[in-house]
Amino acid sequence: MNHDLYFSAHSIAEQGSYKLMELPPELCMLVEASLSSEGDRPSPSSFYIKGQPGEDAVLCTQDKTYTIRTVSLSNSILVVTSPPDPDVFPGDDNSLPNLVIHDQLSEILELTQAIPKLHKLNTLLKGKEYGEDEEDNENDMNVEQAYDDPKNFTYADARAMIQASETELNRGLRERRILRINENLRPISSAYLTKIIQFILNTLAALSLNHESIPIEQVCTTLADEHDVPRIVSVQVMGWFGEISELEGKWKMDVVAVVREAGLGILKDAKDKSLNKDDLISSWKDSIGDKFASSVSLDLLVGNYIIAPASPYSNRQLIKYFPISHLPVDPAQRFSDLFLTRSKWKNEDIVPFLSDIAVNSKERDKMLLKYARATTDVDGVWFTSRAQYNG
Amino acid sequence: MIIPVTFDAHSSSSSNAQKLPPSLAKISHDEVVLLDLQGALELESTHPNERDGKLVGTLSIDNDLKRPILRIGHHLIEGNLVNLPKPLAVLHRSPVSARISNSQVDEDVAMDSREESSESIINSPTIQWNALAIVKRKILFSKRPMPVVGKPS
Repeated sequence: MNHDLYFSAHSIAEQGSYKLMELPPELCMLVEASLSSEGDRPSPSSFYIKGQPGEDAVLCTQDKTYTIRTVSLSNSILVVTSPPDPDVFPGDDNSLPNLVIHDQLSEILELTQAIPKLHKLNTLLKGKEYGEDEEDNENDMNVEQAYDDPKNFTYADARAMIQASETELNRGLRERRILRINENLRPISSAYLTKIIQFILNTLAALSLNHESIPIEQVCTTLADEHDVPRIVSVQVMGWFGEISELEGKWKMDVVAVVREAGLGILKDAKDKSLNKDDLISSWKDSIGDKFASSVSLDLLVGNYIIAPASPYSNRQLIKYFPISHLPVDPAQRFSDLFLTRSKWKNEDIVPFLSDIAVNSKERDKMLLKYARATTDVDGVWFTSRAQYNG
Repeated sequence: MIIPVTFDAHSSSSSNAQKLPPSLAKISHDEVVLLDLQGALELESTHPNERDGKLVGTLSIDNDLKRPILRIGHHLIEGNLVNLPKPLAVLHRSPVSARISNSQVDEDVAMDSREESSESIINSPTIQWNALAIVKRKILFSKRPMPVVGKPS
């Protein structure tokens, strides 16, 4: 069976218009499912390559982000099909169909799953915090002016500029406590958030509401009337700390998340000063109230505090605010910072401070191997810094 | 910048595509086959578009896909079917005209201008990539070419 092989009729024009991309298994399954779906018009699977000039490109699916790497091949791969226009390559009556070469490729695009690059949000949203005094600021500005202000950073801007999938972006906005006010993204000021949590807890206690099924409107009204918290803010805060059922107008509070935030508030207040562990726990319990005091535990603050090494002179444990969100994103710098803070770490102590830069535990262990040295002694395994050879 | 990459079985480009001859269609995909050469096709030409539509050689393969043979000029190369370590998506770039977002905006409504400017951030790239096929096997020509004497077909 001989097939004549030709260059395509537009070979020179088509040069460079083809690319080969390797698909990791889960992506391949996703793509095949969408390609093989039957029906008149199945919704096509659409992924996006995102990046500003100067950034490394990433491929985003609905919920994952992959870095793209070009791998050079020593071979060339020819992309061959039947001629798109059969009249251009007429064969004899008894010869077999012809083939055309569209392009010659010596590179393949490789995809590796990566963490979404959300840290850009910090820089882009600097100075746009939403605090308690927001109401006063708004009254001064003309509402239309505020709406058209080019300094505003909207959700659409974030989708275009942040290298993350939609699901990861939404989760990131939730976790970073970023409000969406009229499409503008405004991180809530941490002091204001702590206050609002307190208002909510007080309201629950005052009105004896069941925390599993809280009427949203009642809370919003109380917060608005008694504490001047706009409804648009209280609803989003409730959304961050529990599940909202719009159908029933009910909020199921996530007790652990709320208790955690209250504890964080106390830690943040102390700033650089160390707190006595027992004092922290007791003021935390006071702020929460009797009902939820049993949920108070230092474990909730993992990744946000550091315990000072025990002093030989006292039994007190000192705790300091040390949030993962303030650490550098680049792995080498992150490890450098961590080892400057403590020269040696146990695995369970260092792991929480790597959770946002490693895609999974396998990647995290690879990072530990690369940037730290493990030594074992009587107490177990300790990680220390590797010697820096970059001069 | 956002560049859409679609995996759409019903996109306009693939609906015009012709199917490959049956024996080749069985390799991996019914529209696209990948030939892997050690080295590259070298051309002698004064003008790059001289090669458009020109004959390169002959690809021979039997029905049970056992011995693919490529004959180019005086060379004959034997190949074999190889599984790809990871499936490859064959992407094709197609120019897409930028959407004109001005035409539908009512100029009286000042609010719309904001939406339009944020939409244009997403609509501005004029290129789009579409996946033609997911290929899992290719024909690899890894043997040394044998010189052939006689009239090229």
